[in-house]
Amino acid sequence: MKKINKYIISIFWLSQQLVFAQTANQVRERIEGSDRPIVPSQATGESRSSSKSGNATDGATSDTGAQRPVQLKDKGVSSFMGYNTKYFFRSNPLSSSGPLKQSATGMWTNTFFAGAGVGVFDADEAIITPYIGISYTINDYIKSDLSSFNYNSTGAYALLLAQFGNGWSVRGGVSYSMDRSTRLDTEDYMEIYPNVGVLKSYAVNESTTAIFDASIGSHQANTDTLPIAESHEEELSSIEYSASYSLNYELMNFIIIPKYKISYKDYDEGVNKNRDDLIHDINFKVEYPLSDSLKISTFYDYSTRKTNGLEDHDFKSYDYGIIIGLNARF
Amino acid sequence: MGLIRSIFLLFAAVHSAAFFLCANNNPIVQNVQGKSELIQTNASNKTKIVDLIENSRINYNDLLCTGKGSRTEIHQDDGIYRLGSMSVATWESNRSIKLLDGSFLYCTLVDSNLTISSAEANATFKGSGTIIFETTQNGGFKFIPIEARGEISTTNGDSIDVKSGRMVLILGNPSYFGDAYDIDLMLMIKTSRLLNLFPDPLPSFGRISLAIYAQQLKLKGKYNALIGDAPTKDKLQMWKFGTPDEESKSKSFFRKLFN
Repeated sequence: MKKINKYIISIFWLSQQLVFAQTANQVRERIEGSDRPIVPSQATGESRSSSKSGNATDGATSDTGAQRPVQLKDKGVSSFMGYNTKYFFRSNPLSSSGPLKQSATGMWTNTFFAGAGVGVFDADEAIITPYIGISYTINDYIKSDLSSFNYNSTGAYALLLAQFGNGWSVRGGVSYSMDRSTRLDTEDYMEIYPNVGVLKSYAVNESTTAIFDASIGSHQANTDTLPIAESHEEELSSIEYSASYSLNYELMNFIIIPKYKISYKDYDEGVNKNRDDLIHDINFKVEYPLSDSLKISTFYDYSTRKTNGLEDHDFKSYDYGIIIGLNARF
Repeated sequence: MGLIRSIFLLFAAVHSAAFFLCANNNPIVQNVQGKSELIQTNASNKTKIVDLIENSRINYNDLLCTGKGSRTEIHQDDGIYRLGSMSVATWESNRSIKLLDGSFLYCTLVDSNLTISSAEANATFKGSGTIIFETTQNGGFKFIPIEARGEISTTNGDSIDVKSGRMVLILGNPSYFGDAYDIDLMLMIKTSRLLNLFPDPLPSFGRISLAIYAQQLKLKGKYNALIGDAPTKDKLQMWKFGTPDEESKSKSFFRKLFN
């Protein structure tokens, strides 16, 4: 009887471990497939500020030009806050290898963010602006059997942005992000991400702006280990090199934004020793500003990952959905 | 021996002539749009009117007049000068210009001095940048730095640091500073013919972009008004447009969110 009990207990323990292992793996895969856009486009220079001056002044051309008085902040300290809600379909939410569509589900994310530009400094050839900010995102899977993967993300960043007159900007900073399981209230993932980047924006024609962005950074990650001997809590740490190119095309009141991004990640810890990933991402977004602060967008995104040094880690996935964003500057 | 001396003298004469020709750094006309004329006065006080043509040089104290819808660009040393339509100006000496009527733009990337005077007022700018000057009915002028660094001083001894986008009035004799206003650089650049209607872009284009960028970061609000002429020393015309006032809008939190 004791033997049977031991056997049952061992089977139960093993099954629990298998369940745990499967879930831990899935959580890990979910983490690896997650985007972490901690720094909003206001702080990187990627978003264009509204240049509308009002109809009353549009025809006021003269040799000197129209002189409209404005009110400026003395120190240039500005703040912004906002809220984004995103409802979308994701074909492969757990970033599993194999077919494009696996455990497909709807997702609903709600992000609250706030930030501040703490001064505007004129360095003759460049304008330097330090930014700080925080964000909090609630990530919910609509499909009930995936709801155990629901998580909340907390982000924070400090960034120094130098904008040059030739359209290039250089930035350097550090961001923090952390995922916490909604159901278990456990910290699934945490990373510190020091990074530097450059961005160049230029007008292609009167209605189109092109944006090139490149960055390099070190993801110093910490996560639960997998139930295998060689697993290490820092094995999701990586060096990431990425570049993207996008066009902002204004058509009537719509802004059409096709974007391509390529990333290379180099891992060197635990089960990820000698692993490297090559990720391609194509995004197509149409924005419609309802007012200066409120806009509605629809998007389609397709991404693939090719992994070397680790088996069964290639994946592909696509998303499409809508976003409503509210953003106010003070 | 005589032949060698003759050749040497001829060589020296040619070089001396070339030296003096090259040393003539009077303002040179780079671009003429429409009809502009020079009123030249000779030693016996006789005046002559000649059409302004490209690549010609302007003598000091000649009167330069642009017609309706006409503009001209003039270079001297490292400075670029653009004269707007219906303007009258004269170069009193190197980097000293009298603007009797109308508007002109000055652009330099290197630190230097420029003395600008109008019918009544006078000021000296020390620094570099892209600046527009416009005369006012009261005899003074507007000093509008699109992007600039340096200082401006008046004949009564006052001086102030120049800030990109901050227009200041120069009034009276001896001259003093009138009111100053931060103006919308984005709108100014979109609507200024002195900035936009010339074939060659200004070399300070990058700096102008930065000035706009810095102003956008500091922007708190825009007034629904345009600054006009100054008919007297105490009055400045303001053309109001639109309602309601955007200043009152900026005080409301929810208006900030939903506008």
